[in-house]
Amino acid sequence: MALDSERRRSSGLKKDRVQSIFNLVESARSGDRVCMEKLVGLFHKEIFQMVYFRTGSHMDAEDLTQEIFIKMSRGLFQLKDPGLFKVWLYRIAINRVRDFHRKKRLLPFLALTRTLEDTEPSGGSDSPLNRVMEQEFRSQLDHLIRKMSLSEREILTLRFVDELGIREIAEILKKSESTVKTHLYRALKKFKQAHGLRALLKGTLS
Amino acid sequence: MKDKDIHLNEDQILVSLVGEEDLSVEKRRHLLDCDVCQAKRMTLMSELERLGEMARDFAPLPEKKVVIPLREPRHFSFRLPAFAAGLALIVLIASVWSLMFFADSSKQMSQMTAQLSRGTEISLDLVDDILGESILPQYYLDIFAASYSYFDDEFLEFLVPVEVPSNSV
Repeated sequence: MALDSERRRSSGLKKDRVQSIFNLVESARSGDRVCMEKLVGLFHKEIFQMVYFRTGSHMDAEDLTQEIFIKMSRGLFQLKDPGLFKVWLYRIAINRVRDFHRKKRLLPFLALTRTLEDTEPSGGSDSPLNRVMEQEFRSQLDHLIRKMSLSEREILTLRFVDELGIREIAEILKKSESTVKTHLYRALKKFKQAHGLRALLKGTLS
Repeated sequence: MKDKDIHLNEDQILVSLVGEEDLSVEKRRHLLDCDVCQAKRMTLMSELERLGEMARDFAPLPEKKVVIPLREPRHFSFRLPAFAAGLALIVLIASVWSLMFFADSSKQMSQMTAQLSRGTEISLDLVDDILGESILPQYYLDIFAASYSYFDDEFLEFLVPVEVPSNSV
């Protein structure tokens, strides 16, 4: 019962957010600059982090995020259905990140595969405990995603890091829902075998 | 033991995480009622949610503000003139090229006509020379041109029979 009411409450909040995004998109499309800026503000952190997970570089993520939002502002007038704004924005972001990797020929797709030595200081607190935790997390995650295919990684990240639904992921990647589910299922199977990472996650849960 | 009483196996738990609707009705009903299966599912789900949380927590925050350029002025001030300039350049190149082509072709035509007429003059001079060299008067030349044209090989053979060697078959 508690689970049901929690689900209903979260779905209600989601609906409100979707409606508010819809209204902002409608106004921004008709040239309202304030709404355009609100829209950018709403997705700035989300898109920046999404890009950061895939590039591993703060500076590149900043630049790419800027480019993504410029592209968004230019193309918003052509967006037919404002309800699909989030999917459309993520598609722009994914394509831009792919272009970036294509140009740089960086094969390891996710920055999460890097070890702490390769990465820049994170956004987390600077306490030694946190740094050790971050290092361990990255190392365990690196171990897991090395076993995954590119599609499995991408879909797992979109589902649990970017918190998108199956239908949204399918629309962003232009794949069928069943394909997305198949890749996600395989990724979860590999996650289940990642005992070190799961122990770490369990430890932080309790 | 009925099917609905059997717990979900590991794969079915994973399927329920991917999409509950992909489980059979029986299994879905079981999942709703069974605390053991729900707990297994919840454990995995919480771990995955925590994975996302930690990834987000360890990611830095954006520092630069996104600057959206004013759309209309830049759009028209850059793209339209660029398009017009491009179009003008294409028209210019096309007109220069066509002028050069037509000038070239008319020059070539006049050269060819001059060559032809020069050739014709040479041929006529040659005919005149040949005719001039002939010892026969114009009258005989006319007879020769007209009256001997119908002689064929048969008639000539009749006039001058070909001698066949005796040893031939």
